[in-house]
Amino acid sequence: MNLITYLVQHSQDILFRGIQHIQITLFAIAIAVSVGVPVGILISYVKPFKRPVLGFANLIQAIPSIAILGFLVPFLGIGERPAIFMVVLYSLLPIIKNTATGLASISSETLEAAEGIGMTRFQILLKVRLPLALPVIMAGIRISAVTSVGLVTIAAFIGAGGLGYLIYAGIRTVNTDLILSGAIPACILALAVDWLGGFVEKIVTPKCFKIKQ
Amino acid sequence: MLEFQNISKQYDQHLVVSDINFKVEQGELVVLIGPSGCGKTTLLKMINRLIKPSSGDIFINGRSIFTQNEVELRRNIGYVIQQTGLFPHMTVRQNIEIIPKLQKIDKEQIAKRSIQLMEMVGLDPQQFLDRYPFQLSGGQQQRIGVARAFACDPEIILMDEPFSALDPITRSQLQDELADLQSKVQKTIVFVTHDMNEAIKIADKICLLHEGKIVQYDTVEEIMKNPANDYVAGFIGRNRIWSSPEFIRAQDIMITNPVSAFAQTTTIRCIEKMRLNQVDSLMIVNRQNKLLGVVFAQELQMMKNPQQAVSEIMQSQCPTIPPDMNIVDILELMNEGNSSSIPVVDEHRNLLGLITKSSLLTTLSRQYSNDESEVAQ
Repeated sequence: MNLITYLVQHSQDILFRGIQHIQITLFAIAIAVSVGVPVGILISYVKPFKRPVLGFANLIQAIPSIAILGFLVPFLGIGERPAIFMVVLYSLLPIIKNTATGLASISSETLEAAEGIGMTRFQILLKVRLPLALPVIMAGIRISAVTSVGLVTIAAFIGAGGLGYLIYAGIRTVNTDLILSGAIPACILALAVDWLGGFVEKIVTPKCFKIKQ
Repeated sequence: MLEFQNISKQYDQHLVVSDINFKVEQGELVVLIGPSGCGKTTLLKMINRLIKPSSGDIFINGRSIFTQNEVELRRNIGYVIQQTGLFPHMTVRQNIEIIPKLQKIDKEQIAKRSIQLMEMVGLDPQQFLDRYPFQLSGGQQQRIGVARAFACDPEIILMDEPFSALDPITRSQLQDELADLQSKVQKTIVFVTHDMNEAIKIADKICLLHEGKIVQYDTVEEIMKNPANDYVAGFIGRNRIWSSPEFIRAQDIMITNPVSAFAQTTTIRCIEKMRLNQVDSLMIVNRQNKLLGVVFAQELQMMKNPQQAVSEIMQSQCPTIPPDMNIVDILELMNEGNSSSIPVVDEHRNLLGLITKSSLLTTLSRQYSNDESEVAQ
């Protein structure tokens, strides 16, 4: 009963932190998508790039997120900037990988038909490969987005703000209500992002896949 | 129209096709046929430059295709492949209209053309234009494939085993429709298949390939009657001609030196001639071998005067057969006419040969005997 009263009393603050959290996440995801998708396209056309790029993305994924923040602080200072940078780095792998996988999964007959009837390489990418790969690419973005919500929580550690700030403040002052006032909205946010991702995935899936399943 | 000149293709050390030369005339449907690995698909894909030959040149209307813009070239060549050729994420309409739209053709014109194309391939535009490929049967999908190939009204259409994944009934139906369509639109079509029945059904000419070389390039009738070698004969199949009996013609099965007599010959001498040659009819000709009439043994035997000239009793209005009449029509004529032997004459009524009930029977029975190597020789 105490908790609810607490949440209601501090709703203003929670809302502010929540919005901050969403902002950082969205911003990071937007950057990750605008870097990851082109890189994914690039490595599926220029084969020699594929291994080094995926290798690098894998490597970053293997480093603990706190350690990455540690590396970034000397260069970017503290606050939102290193937080966004870290989230982008972490989000790249699923997006690049899924883009490349999605583009590679299109049947060679379909591609040959596209080429044979006189579409340019760019038209094939835009009208055939990307639309058919979109569900797979979107699945990658969805994974990244959900992970990002969690990562931004950790980023409060270096002063990025967000819901993580409430959690850390709560831990420092041993205030359970304060901890939960950050943790519960963070969980809800993660679930909401997942649901939203699923929704977008459904929208972009070409009709041919939907009815088949 | 379309010409291959010294085309070869090498993958690593392996020669896939070597020194191919052939021409396809405007409005012809040419089938490239052969066992898998003979290079037929390779040759087809060279025409729209999906595969680059190692050496040689290909000309369309006298112009080398390698001097043209690749995309431009392909848009002027229709391309139909096995069922997967349609884009699964696009509706039938989008599939058909994709290239015209990329060419920025007037929207109304495109829409009109789509309806035309659907009617051409026998599908109701209202019902099908907004469906997705997966909502169609294999045969319907392939019809859309054909419609898409015709969308830009190209001069040349390439078909790469378009019907091979269909069930036999649908396949046969589409083959008939293609033959029918081709007789109307007269496009230049290059069609790849490994199915000889299909080739015979639709082709004007057949180009038979084996291990990257052309073994024989000829009309369907020629290739069936005069296979260049044992390989061709084997590929066609010994009795294949019986599945297309319309290619068996009077001149292939007639008796080439029928027993004949001149008009002045007396009846008694005629009877003697028939007895000696063991025949029951005589062809009556003039000195120039022109047919005047036919006389049968029964009629001669009824004559009282042995010295009468045969010209007085012969049937001068007897039915005759032109040399290119096919066996189906001949059988029909024999059934109707009730005559046991019909002379084969050219347009000037010169006697070329004779077809009798027994010669027909011999011909027909050959399809069941394996000793005879060739039926139509």
